Amino acid sequence: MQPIFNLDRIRCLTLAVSAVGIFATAASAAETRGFAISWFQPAYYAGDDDCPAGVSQEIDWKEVFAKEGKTPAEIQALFEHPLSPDFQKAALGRGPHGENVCADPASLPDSSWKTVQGKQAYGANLDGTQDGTATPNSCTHQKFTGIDGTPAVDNQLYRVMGCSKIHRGSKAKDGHDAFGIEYLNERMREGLVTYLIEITGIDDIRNSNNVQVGIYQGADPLVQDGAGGVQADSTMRIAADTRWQATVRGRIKDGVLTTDPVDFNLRGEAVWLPEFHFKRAQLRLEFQPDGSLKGHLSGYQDWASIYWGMAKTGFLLEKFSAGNCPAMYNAFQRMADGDPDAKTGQCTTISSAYGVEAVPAFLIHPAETKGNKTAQAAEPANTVAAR
Amino acid sequence: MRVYRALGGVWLRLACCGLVILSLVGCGDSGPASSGAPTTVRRLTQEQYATIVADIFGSDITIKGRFDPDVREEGLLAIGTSHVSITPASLEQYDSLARSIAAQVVDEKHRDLLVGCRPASKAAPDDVCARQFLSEVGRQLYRRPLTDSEIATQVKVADDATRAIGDFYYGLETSLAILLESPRFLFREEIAESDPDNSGGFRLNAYSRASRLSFFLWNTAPDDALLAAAENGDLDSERGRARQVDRMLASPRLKAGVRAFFTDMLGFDTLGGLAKDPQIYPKFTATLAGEAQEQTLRTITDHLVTRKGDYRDLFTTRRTFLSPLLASIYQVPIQARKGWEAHEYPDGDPHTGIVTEVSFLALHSHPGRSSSTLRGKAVREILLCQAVPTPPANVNFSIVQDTKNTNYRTARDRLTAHRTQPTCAGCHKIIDPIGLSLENFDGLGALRQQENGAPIDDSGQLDAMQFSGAVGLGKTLHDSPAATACLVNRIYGYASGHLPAKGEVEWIKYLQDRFAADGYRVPDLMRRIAISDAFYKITIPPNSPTQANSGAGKAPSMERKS
Amino acid sequence: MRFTRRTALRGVLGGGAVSVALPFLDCFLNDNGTAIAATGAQLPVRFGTWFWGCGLTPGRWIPNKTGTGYDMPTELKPLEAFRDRLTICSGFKANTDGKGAVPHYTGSMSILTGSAPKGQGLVDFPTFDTTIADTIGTATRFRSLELTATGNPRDSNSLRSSAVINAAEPSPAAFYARLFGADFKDPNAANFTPDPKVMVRKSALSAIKEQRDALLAEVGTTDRARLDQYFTSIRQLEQQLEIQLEKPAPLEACSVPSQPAVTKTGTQIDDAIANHKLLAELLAHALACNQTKVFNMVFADAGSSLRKAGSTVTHHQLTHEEPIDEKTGCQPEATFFVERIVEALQTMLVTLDGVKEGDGTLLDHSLVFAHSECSFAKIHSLETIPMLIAGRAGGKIKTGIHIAGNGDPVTRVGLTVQQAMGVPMNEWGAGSMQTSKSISELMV
Repeated sequence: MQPIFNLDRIRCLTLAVSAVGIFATAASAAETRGFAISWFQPAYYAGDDDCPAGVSQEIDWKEVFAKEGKTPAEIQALFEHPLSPDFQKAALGRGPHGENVCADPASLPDSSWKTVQGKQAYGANLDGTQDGTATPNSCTHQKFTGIDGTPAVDNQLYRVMGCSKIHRGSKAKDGHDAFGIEYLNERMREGLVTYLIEITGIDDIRNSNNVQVGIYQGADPLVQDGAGGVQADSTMRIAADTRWQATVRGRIKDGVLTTDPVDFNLRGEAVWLPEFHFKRAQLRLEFQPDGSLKGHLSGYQDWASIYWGMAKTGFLLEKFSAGNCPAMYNAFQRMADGDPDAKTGQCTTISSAYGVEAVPAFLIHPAETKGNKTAQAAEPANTVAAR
Repeated sequence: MRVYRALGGVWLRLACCGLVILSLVGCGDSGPASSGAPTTVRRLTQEQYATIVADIFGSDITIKGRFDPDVREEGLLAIGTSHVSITPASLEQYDSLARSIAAQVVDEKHRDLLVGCRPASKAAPDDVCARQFLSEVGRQLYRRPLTDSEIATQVKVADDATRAIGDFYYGLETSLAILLESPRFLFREEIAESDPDNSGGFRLNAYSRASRLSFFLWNTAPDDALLAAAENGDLDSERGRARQVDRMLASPRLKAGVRAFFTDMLGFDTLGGLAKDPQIYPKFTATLAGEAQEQTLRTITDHLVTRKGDYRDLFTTRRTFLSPLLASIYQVPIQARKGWEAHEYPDGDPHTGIVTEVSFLALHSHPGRSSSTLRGKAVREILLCQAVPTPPANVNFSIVQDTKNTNYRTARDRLTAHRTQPTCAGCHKIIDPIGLSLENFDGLGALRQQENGAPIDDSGQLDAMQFSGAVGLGKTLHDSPAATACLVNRIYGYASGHLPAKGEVEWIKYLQDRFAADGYRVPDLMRRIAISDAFYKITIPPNSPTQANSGAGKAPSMERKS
Repeated sequence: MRFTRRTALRGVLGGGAVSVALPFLDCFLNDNGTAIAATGAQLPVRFGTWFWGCGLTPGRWIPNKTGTGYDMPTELKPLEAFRDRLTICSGFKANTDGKGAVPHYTGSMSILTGSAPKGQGLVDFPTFDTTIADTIGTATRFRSLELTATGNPRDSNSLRSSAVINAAEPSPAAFYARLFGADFKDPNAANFTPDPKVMVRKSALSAIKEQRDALLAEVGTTDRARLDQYFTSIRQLEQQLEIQLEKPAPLEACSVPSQPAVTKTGTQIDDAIANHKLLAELLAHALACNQTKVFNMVFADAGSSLRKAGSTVTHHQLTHEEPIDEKTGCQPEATFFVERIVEALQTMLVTLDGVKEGDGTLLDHSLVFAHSECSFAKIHSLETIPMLIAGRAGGKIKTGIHIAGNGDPVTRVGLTVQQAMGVPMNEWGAGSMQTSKSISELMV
């Protein structure tokens, strides 16, 4: 016996009613689906051959202090109180003229930062070349092979960070379980930031060759479900601030959504990276049987903001995260592969990849910022989009 | 007032005669005669306790305590409250609660507002002030004026404590705490008196009538106006009662009364302990359980009280209220970020009526799967007042419980297999077909089309009626005379604290007829019960002591009526 | 079937045990009365918290088996001897309700205040040790005693509000002076003065007792028995007050310890271990002498600053940067500190268990609530933060059980502990962590 109702039909009807007195969006037969990102983490692989010289270690402070000319007694005294301002000052002030090397990383040439030597990484071919030769939009760099076999993958952020002690996860967890990369994901799932995706113009959920994909900052915290995941089917508002909104063309082929490259910004969190600045980024997300999405976001990111995001904690980065400000800065400079500066030729962005999962959600668009203000006042401030 | 102890066994015969005569006479509008039932002594519920304290002292008095759980009898906690006591462990809780409330009432922040008079000296007894405060508060807590000797006792408690500690307010606090843990407050004791309109018969006295009325309509103690009406004799006649009842039905507090009744009838006390397997139903949380209850209570009070709707439409209505969390279960978008939003499902939507809400569907399911049996049983027991026997002790449930068996992918398959066991067939035949119509809702109450990849057959049956899905079940319940009769039985049991006695059966039938004639309007039914004589009629069992003449339980003002 | 009070009070429904209402039954009268009368003269019940920062290692501290007779997991092995007096609560979660987690703070404050803090140092509610102290600790010299083994008086988790923090004592020598210095009065020598307020309460109860005959005469037989039970309860309450008015039995376990030397305090692990041991011993004397009934011990501060001598690498730092060894499933260097922490907890329990009192030990008459502030410190996880309940609380709590929380809020544990300690409350916590579901498997 057939069920007497059809879930998809019901959903459409539900939406029609909910939209009474509200701007209805696409009135066509094409479907719109909304999603809340439930997992967002740098896709750092953990290959066996990545770090032949080992991972980064905390700086040997005794050596640093000795180089600064401190006596063994002075060093001993500093070590009695390793969290004291004196210790911090001595540690960071190791520039040639006593510069704070986190605030002024170029003051100390230091090329000791360990970078990834392996051949495989997550990511996409962002520069379009097979060998990483410079183009008007990119600097010469080495390519990886994708974990799924994709040739000529770019992920220079992984090359810089992949042998950092606190960014390197375990092979067993596919690199997921490192403090430095799990941090934002955990805070996001606790409700600090919300990222939303909306796909409009879907004719067929398996194959639609022309869809529009919105990438948005959410205005509502994610809701945790009883199993520690993110509650599916919640209603989520899109943040009104247009700085955190972008739309891009995409297509669905055999249940896989891909998009054209697009520039967009998202808010991050205060400890590691307050803002994401993506350039020419693309999504590749696969529809899962339960209606969720899983895949990657690949694109260039402004590397200076990544460096300064970490370096602002200065001593914490170096003391507690096995960091080294000038060495990391130097590595970013060397490995940066996108958007060369017109004058210096120095690349200003770095290729990267993020693991993304998203659960179905109902999205509410903010009130139109352009258009008839009177009409706006007369109507409810939000429009409802479909799940 | 007469002394009934002297009558010994004679009264029973008298009462019987009275009954015969009355039923011959009939009573036009008021319906057939009712025997009434014995008085009850009900323990205050936690909600009633809290409401009364807030009514008297304001809502900023903190009430923190552990109350003993209530007992469900005959489908109602309200009947269970007539059979529970107070154990030493729970008295400790009442004691600490009483002292904490009393301390707050007389603290420096509240005393000027709440005590209402100031002592001549803060360090010495002041009988006038103590008497004024304790007799006024005592009247509200005991739900009748205190007797002179009760007032004298309370004032003495205050005086003694004041002298011992040297603080007038500590004395007041001590005496107030005693009032708050007195059995006269914690138990709703009912007192009967001889019925002037029915020689040899009995009825509740005026204050007990006021209490029954008030707890029924508002789920709290009588307010000042109602106590005054009791004192004036206004509650002696239907007309006088009608004035008070209409006043109370027009009050926003009616909703609290209606909510309390349905919370009891629908068994929502167990929602707080509901557990689901988080791996199977990740969307379930304790917050959700609370909101599910609120959803149904909002739906009910909106429909029955605000819209004055037909009770039967609660089984078919598409109108409800949603919170953001619930909206994610029902898979609909919601504008509200917090709180509640009215929602109406479209025609053809399977969400019809309160049995398609999470509060029903999740409550009557297993932790890891839906249950047609539990849902069918709940429909029969809760909504139709029909008893379903408990399963025999040594049943093999393995087929029903194994949701991974590919031979029986849907609940219907499993139950059909289970029903071939003859010891089970009899009951399951009358339960399962009801619940199977709700199989399109999983164990949490979310819609589904398939179970384990197999399509769900949602045909159902209730007695002779065959139907499809939740829509069909809702329509069947809507048209079921048993459902409306059940509501009348439950509401009467809830209001009176007992199962209808034999001599009340005709009266209840009459109420059922009137309920239909009134378009199944619940507030009208409540009104009819609350103003009737029958509601306050009392029978006194043969072994009863001198119910009606005791000194201590009787207010001074009652003397003039004897 | 033999009908015991317990079977009437507790039943099992669905997945978890839930409280079942108690109908009035005559057969309870005597049983219950005796039981209550007996508790009146029992030794005082103490409550303590024992805190450590940076959690334990997932996969190494949760028993496989739930209920009694659980298997002692690797990291808790030093507590093996206490298994029948140790309850392990796993799988309970702190919800931030969108407030955002403050690393190494949100977890502990959620457990202790029932609500995620708004920010560092910004709690909305008091920690529940203060609520318990207000319930059981009002008649002792100190309402509670706060201690820390890592040298910083600010390392205290006992807060009445964001502004009122009960500072912790780091120095054993100073702690000794505070306890057994000039202000110490031998409780066994002291003159006993009955509390006049208790006398007043007891005498006021007669106003209720006087109502008995009249009330019972007003009601039918069944109701009479119910109301008589109420008056039996009143008599029990009166007896409890009478006990409070009598001079208490001498505290046989009370003795004044010898004065400890001044020690070096700080975050070095050896110092912390040594100071913790001295503090625990002094605390046991203080409890045995009824100087307090409530204590709060911080062994390792939130975001554990413990470190080895001569090293600047803290336990906290290791939890973040050290990779997980795939064979053992732990971070080897961080685990060194985890092992010392659990051994320190063992020291505390052994010390309390070493004081004989009545028919048992100080530990038998105590409830020690040990907990951390995160589950897996590496990512500050708020799911399944370790919480342990040690001791028998004088029979007020069932013990030796592994409770799996299945994602329920941590407040269920706090509510249970508070109820076991006699705090009158039937719900606790705020927001999505508000709960009225205490853990019925633990309730007596």
